[in-house]
Amino acid sequence: MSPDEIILERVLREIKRVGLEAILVGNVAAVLQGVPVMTQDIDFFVRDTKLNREKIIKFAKNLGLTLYKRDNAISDVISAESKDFVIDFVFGLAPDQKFESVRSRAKRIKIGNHFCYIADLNDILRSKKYANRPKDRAVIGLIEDTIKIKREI
Amino acid sequence: MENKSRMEYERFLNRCRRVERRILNRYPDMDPHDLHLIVRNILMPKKWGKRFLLRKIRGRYVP
Repeated sequence: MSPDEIILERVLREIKRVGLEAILVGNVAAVLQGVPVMTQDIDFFVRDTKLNREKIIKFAKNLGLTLYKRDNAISDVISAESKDFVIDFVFGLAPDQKFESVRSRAKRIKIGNHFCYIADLNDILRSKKYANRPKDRAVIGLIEDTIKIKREI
Repeated sequence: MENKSRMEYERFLNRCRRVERRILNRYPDMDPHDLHLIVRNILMPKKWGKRFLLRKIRGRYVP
Protein backbone atom coordinates (compact mmCIF):
# COMPACT_ATOMS: atom_id res chain seq x y z
CA MET A 1 0.00 0.00 0.00
CA SER A 2 1.07 3.58 -0.62
CA PRO A 3 1.43 6.00 2.34
CA ASP A 4 -1.83 7.64 1.22
CA GLU A 5 -3.66 4.30 1.23
CA ILE A 6 -2.33 3.66 4.74
CA ILE A 7 -3.90 6.97 5.87
CA LEU A 8 -7.15 6.06 4.09
CA GLU A 9 -7.21 2.64 5.74
CA ARG A 10 -6.73 4.24 9.16
CA VAL A 11 -9.64 6.58 8.44
CA LEU A 12 -11.85 3.71 7.23
CA ARG A 13 -11.04 1.69 10.35
CA GLU A 14 -12.19 4.56 12.55
CA ILE A 15 -15.32 5.21 10.46
CA LYS A 16 -16.22 1.55 10.93
CA ARG A 17 -15.45 1.71 14.66
CA VAL A 18 -17.89 4.58 15.23
CA GLY A 19 -20.49 2.91 12.99
CA LEU A 20 -20.75 5.73 10.46
CA GLU A 21 -22.23 4.80 7.08
CA ALA A 22 -20.20 6.78 4.55
CA ILE A 23 -19.49 6.77 0.80
CA LEU A 24 -16.09 7.86 -0.46
CA VAL A 25 -16.64 10.68 -3.00
CA GLY A 26 -14.59 13.52 -4.50
CA ASN A 27 -11.11 13.35 -5.94
CA VAL A 28 -9.89 10.41 -3.84
CA ALA A 29 -12.80 8.30 -5.13
CA ALA A 30 -11.93 9.54 -8.63
CA VAL A 31 -8.23 8.66 -8.31
CA LEU A 32 -9.03 5.15 -7.09
CA GLN A 33 -10.99 4.66 -10.34
CA GLY A 34 -8.22 5.92 -12.60
CA VAL A 35 -8.67 9.70 -12.83
CA PRO A 36 -5.21 11.36 -12.80
CA VAL A 37 -5.69 14.00 -10.09
CA MET A 38 -4.29 14.77 -6.65
CA THR A 39 -6.05 16.33 -3.69
CA GLN A 40 -5.55 17.64 -0.19
CA ASP A 41 -8.63 16.15 1.43
CA ILE A 42 -10.59 12.92 1.65
CA ASP A 43 -14.34 13.43 1.13
CA PHE A 44 -17.11 11.23 2.50
CA PHE A 45 -20.82 11.55 1.76
CA VAL A 46 -22.99 10.84 4.83
CA ARG A 47 -26.68 11.22 5.72
CA ASP A 48 -27.44 14.41 7.62
CA THR A 49 -28.74 13.07 10.94
CA LYS A 50 -28.12 14.07 14.55
CA LEU A 51 -26.68 10.61 15.23
CA ASN A 52 -24.25 10.87 12.30
CA ARG A 53 -23.06 14.28 13.53
CA GLU A 54 -22.41 12.70 16.93
CA LYS A 55 -20.50 9.86 15.25
CA ILE A 56 -18.37 12.39 13.34
CA ILE A 57 -17.50 14.11 16.64
CA LYS A 58 -16.49 10.72 18.09
CA PHE A 59 -14.52 9.87 14.93
CA ALA A 60 -12.57 13.13 15.16
CA LYS A 61 -11.91 12.66 18.86
CA ASN A 62 -10.63 9.10 18.37
CA LEU A 63 -8.23 10.18 15.60
CA GLY A 64 -7.14 13.34 17.43
CA LEU A 65 -8.60 15.58 14.71
CA THR A 66 -10.08 19.06 15.12
CA LEU A 67 -13.56 19.72 13.77
CA TYR A 68 -13.98 22.72 11.52
CA LYS A 69 -17.28 24.00 10.18
CA ARG A 70 -16.98 26.50 7.36
CA ASP A 71 -19.19 29.57 7.66
CA ASN A 72 -19.86 29.97 3.97
CA ALA A 73 -19.86 26.37 2.73
CA ILE A 74 -22.15 25.91 -0.29
CA SER A 75 -23.27 22.52 0.89
CA ASP A 76 -23.21 21.46 4.49
CA VAL A 77 -19.70 20.22 5.22
CA ILE A 78 -17.87 19.33 8.42
CA SER A 79 -14.10 18.96 8.22
CA ALA A 80 -12.07 16.88 10.64
CA GLU A 81 -8.45 17.82 10.26
CA SER A 82 -4.92 17.72 11.57
CA LYS A 83 -1.53 18.81 10.23
CA ASP A 84 -1.32 15.53 8.30
CA PHE A 85 -4.70 15.29 6.58
CA VAL A 86 -8.21 16.71 6.16
CA ILE A 87 -11.37 14.61 6.12
CA ASP A 88 -14.53 16.30 4.81
CA PHE A 89 -17.95 14.91 5.65
CA VAL A 90 -20.48 16.26 3.17
CA PHE A 91 -24.21 16.00 3.80
CA GLY A 92 -25.29 16.67 0.24
CA LEU A 93 -24.04 16.44 -3.34
CA ALA A 94 -26.30 17.62 -6.19
CA PRO A 95 -30.02 17.97 -5.29
CA ASP A 96 -30.97 14.83 -7.23
CA GLN A 97 -28.24 12.73 -5.58
CA LYS A 98 -29.80 11.15 -2.54
CA PHE A 99 -27.56 9.08 -0.26
CA GLU A 100 -29.43 5.86 -1.05
CA SER A 101 -29.26 6.33 -4.81
CA VAL A 102 -25.52 7.16 -4.76
CA ARG A 103 -24.90 4.11 -2.56
CA SER A 104 -26.93 1.86 -4.87
CA ARG A 105 -24.53 2.70 -7.73
CA ALA A 106 -21.39 2.71 -5.56
CA LYS A 107 -18.76 -0.03 -5.67
CA ARG A 108 -17.40 -1.80 -2.62
CA ILE A 109 -13.63 -1.83 -2.66
CA LYS A 110 -10.98 -3.02 -0.25
CA ILE A 111 -8.25 -0.74 1.08
CA GLY A 112 -5.86 -2.79 3.18
CA ASN A 113 -8.08 -4.81 5.51
CA HIS A 114 -11.09 -2.51 5.26
CA PHE A 115 -13.94 -2.23 2.78
CA CYS A 116 -15.56 1.00 1.72
CA TYR A 117 -18.24 2.19 -0.64
CA ILE A 118 -16.82 4.33 -3.42
CA ALA A 119 -19.14 6.52 -5.51
CA ASP A 120 -19.57 5.71 -9.19
CA LEU A 121 -17.56 8.02 -11.49
CA ASN A 122 -20.79 9.31 -13.06
CA ASP A 123 -21.99 10.40 -9.61
CA ILE A 124 -18.66 12.11 -8.91
CA LEU A 125 -18.93 13.87 -12.28
CA ARG A 126 -22.50 14.99 -11.50
CA SER A 127 -21.44 16.40 -8.11
CA LYS A 128 -18.47 18.24 -9.65
CA LYS A 129 -20.71 19.79 -12.31
CA TYR A 130 -23.15 20.90 -9.62
CA ALA A 131 -20.46 22.37 -7.33
CA ASN A 132 -18.94 24.12 -10.39
CA ARG A 133 -16.03 25.77 -8.53
CA PRO A 134 -12.82 26.36 -10.50
CA LYS A 135 -11.21 23.30 -8.87
CA ASP A 136 -14.22 21.18 -9.86
CA ARG A 137 -14.22 22.46 -13.44
CA ALA A 138 -10.52 21.59 -13.69
CA VAL A 139 -11.21 17.87 -13.25
CA ILE A 140 -14.50 17.49 -15.15
CA GLY A 141 -12.77 16.83 -18.49
CA LEU A 142 -10.46 14.25 -16.93
CA ILE A 143 -13.38 12.41 -15.31
CA GLU A 144 -15.29 12.40 -18.60
CA ASP A 145 -12.24 11.04 -20.45
CA THR A 146 -11.71 8.37 -17.78
CA ILE A 147 -15.33 7.21 -18.09
CA LYS A 148 -14.87 6.86 -21.88
CA ILE A 149 -11.54 5.03 -21.53
CA LYS A 150 -12.86 2.63 -18.88
CA ARG A 151 -15.54 1.55 -21.36
CA GLU A 152 -12.80 0.72 -23.88
CA ILE A 153 -10.53 -1.29 -21.59
CA MET B 1 16.12 -6.70 -7.80
CA GLU B 2 16.11 -3.15 -9.16
CA ASN B 3 16.55 -4.52 -12.69
CA LYS B 4 13.64 -6.92 -12.23
CA SER B 5 11.42 -4.12 -11.00
CA ARG B 6 12.42 -1.95 -13.96
CA MET B 7 11.66 -4.75 -16.42
CA GLU B 8 8.28 -5.27 -14.78
CA TYR B 9 7.56 -1.55 -15.20
CA GLU B 10 8.66 -1.60 -18.84
CA ARG B 11 6.34 -4.52 -19.55
CA PHE B 12 3.56 -2.54 -17.90
CA LEU B 13 4.38 0.52 -20.04
CA ASN B 14 4.30 -1.59 -23.21
CA ARG B 15 0.84 -2.78 -22.27
CA CYS B 16 -0.23 0.85 -21.65
CA ARG B 17 1.20 1.85 -25.04
CA ARG B 18 -0.81 -0.85 -26.88
CA VAL B 19 -4.05 0.21 -25.16
CA GLU B 20 -3.34 3.92 -25.77
CA ARG B 21 -2.79 3.37 -29.51
CA ARG B 22 -6.10 1.54 -29.79
CA ILE B 23 -8.02 4.20 -27.84
CA LEU B 24 -6.40 7.16 -29.58
CA ASN B 25 -7.70 5.81 -32.89
CA ARG B 26 -11.21 6.04 -31.50
CA TYR B 27 -10.76 9.37 -29.68
CA PRO B 28 -8.26 11.34 -31.78
CA ASP B 29 -9.10 14.59 -29.95
CA MET B 30 -8.08 13.23 -26.57
CA ASP B 31 -4.86 14.69 -25.20
CA PRO B 32 -2.26 11.87 -25.49
CA HIS B 33 -0.64 12.75 -22.17
CA ASP B 34 -3.96 12.74 -20.30
CA LEU B 35 -4.76 9.47 -22.05
CA HIS B 36 -1.48 7.96 -20.87
CA LEU B 37 -2.06 9.04 -17.26
CA ILE B 38 -5.60 7.66 -17.26
CA VAL B 39 -4.64 4.33 -18.87
CA ARG B 40 -1.66 4.05 -16.50
CA ASN B 41 -3.89 4.63 -13.47
CA ILE B 42 -6.50 2.13 -14.64
CA LEU B 43 -4.04 -0.63 -15.53
CA MET B 44 -1.63 -0.14 -12.63
CA PRO B 45 -1.49 -3.27 -10.44
CA LYS B 46 -3.21 -2.71 -7.10
CA LYS B 47 -0.15 -3.91 -5.19
CA TRP B 48 1.85 -0.88 -6.42
CA GLY B 49 -0.49 1.41 -4.48
CA LYS B 50 -1.98 4.74 -5.49
CA ARG B 51 -0.86 8.21 -4.41
CA PHE B 52 -3.52 10.88 -4.14
CA LEU B 53 -2.74 13.26 -1.26
CA LEU B 54 -0.79 16.48 -1.66
CA ARG B 55 1.06 17.92 1.31
CA LYS B 56 2.29 21.48 1.66
CA ILE B 57 5.99 21.37 2.49
CA ARG B 58 8.01 24.60 2.65
CA GLY B 59 5.31 26.42 0.67
CA ARG B 60 5.06 23.81 -2.09
CA TYR B 61 2.46 21.14 -2.72
CA VAL B 62 4.10 17.72 -3.07
CA PRO B 63 2.69 14.16 -3.28
